[in-house]
Amino acid sequence: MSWWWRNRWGLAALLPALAVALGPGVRDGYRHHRDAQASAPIGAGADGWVVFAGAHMRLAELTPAGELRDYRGRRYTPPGSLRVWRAEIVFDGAARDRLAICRLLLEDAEGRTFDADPAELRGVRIPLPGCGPQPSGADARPRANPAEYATMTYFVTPASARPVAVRVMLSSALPSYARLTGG
Amino acid sequence: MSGSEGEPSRGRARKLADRVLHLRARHLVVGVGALVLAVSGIFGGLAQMKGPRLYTVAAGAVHRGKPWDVALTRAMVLDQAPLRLRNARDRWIAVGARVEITADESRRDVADVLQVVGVDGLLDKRPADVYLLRDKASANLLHPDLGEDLIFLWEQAETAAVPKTIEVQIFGKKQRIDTFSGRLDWMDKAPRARAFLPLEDQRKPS
Amino acid sequence: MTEPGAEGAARDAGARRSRIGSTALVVAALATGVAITSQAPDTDARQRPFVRVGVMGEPVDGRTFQGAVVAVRGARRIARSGKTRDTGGVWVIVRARAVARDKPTSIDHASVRDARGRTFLATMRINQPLVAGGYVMQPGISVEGDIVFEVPQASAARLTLRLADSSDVRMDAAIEIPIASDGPTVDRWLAEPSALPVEDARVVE
Repeated sequence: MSWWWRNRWGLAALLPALAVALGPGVRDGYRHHRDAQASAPIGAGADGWVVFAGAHMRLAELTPAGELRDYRGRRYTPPGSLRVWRAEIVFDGAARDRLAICRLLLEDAEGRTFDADPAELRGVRIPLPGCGPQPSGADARPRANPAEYATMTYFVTPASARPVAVRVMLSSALPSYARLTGG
Repeated sequence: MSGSEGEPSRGRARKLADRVLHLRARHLVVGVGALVLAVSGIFGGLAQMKGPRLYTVAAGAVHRGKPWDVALTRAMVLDQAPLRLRNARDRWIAVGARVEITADESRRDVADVLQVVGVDGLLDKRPADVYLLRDKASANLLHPDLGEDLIFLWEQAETAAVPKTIEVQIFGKKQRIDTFSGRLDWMDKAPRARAFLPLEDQRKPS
Repeated sequence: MTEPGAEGAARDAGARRSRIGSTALVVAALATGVAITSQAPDTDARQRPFVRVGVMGEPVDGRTFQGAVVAVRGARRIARSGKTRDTGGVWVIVRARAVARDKPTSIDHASVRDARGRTFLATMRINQPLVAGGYVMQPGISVEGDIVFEVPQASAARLTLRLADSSDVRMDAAIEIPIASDGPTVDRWLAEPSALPVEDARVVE
């Protein structure tokens, strides 16, 4: 009886044993990596609101920013290779507490993301970005519904970029994030 | 055949040797190990290990080592420094030293270079700040082969006595494989030299 | 009664051969294991960064960003944010241009390596305009700024710049660009008495 025949069951079990030994570690490692990225967008429901982290929010407006000024009142003109965008986001009252520390990103048609309040706008008089109510005078339009509030956030992209959405992210909610479109 | 009565002593010794040689390997190894341990104990092998010897250096003399060479220059009592005191009535114990990195990369652990020993009332064993003498900026990064004159600051409580002399220890580290990460790292921070410096009182007279 | 001598001797010889054979197999297995582990890379080698080497003036891909060296200057003294800093060595100021690929990125590792293999991290004696939290780049927007190092005079003529987007470069991309000058150039830098200004990073049009 040859050695191969005598050890046939052991040999047959080698590959499955290797898979069982390595598989869970590889799978967990991949999952861990994937969950640290924003990979699960939550879109709007039929009513146009996105429900994320127990709060409601929607994108009221996403347009090129109008005239901007610096802290000395001088007009700020961005370099020709850039464009400044302004996003108005409406939140319900629950967002006040539930989204106290959020990160806002602009998403363009190529899938690139851009930070709110970037270094290119240092010195420009714009409100601090966030998901909580901003001080009065932060350009956001008052809401008819007193339970809601709106925030104004500024982004900078290359002039050729075409924004398509605003992302609202919480590190504790990753990989899910709110993807606000429209506006 | 062996084992008959009235055997001479040489026969008994041979019998013992035979029995030892025919022991199982496991028993033989344990027996030899125990014998070695016992013998080393007779010659001090089981005595408690003494701590490392600390060289005493004079002020101004360079003590060479890794990851830095250090020359202690002076020790002072100050009431003001670039850093604010946590308690306004406390004082600073300041030690001046020239430090040159002898490792192969820039180092951020400047606060590990020195410790002051036997001074009452220090708020922390680690210096509250280390700054460059050349521009009073915080010295949080030093580079290989670029010696710098530094001042190390410790805050001492106002109620504690100001000593006339202080012992300052120079620490070193060893570069070895960290058994947890498997990577080469600087570890085993330990004092390697000391100096006794007179404390100059540089406070403004009140 | 003793056993027939020949049979006993043969059995003993067989048992001895078997023991020698087993011992030899164990020693061979151990030796093979030692040979393999001594040849296998250590943790530092296994976790080393993926280095992309470039040349001055040309952009190099650093996975999440592209970087290029535009120019190299040096000085005995520099000026930044209204303060002047001098050094016992040489200030080496690398003018670099970088652009993020598809998400906000900052260059969190900047170092130079000299001919002896020693590594000098970007200085913390000034607030760096481009690295170490000084600037977060937005995708597609090219930014140019200075990266400032403090090195011994003997090292300044032959340096290699390394940039990466994380302060921990293990198993991640890093770009390396040699920024060699020469002895007379370094001497000229040191001979200049005025402080070289280090300016804020700016967008490249």
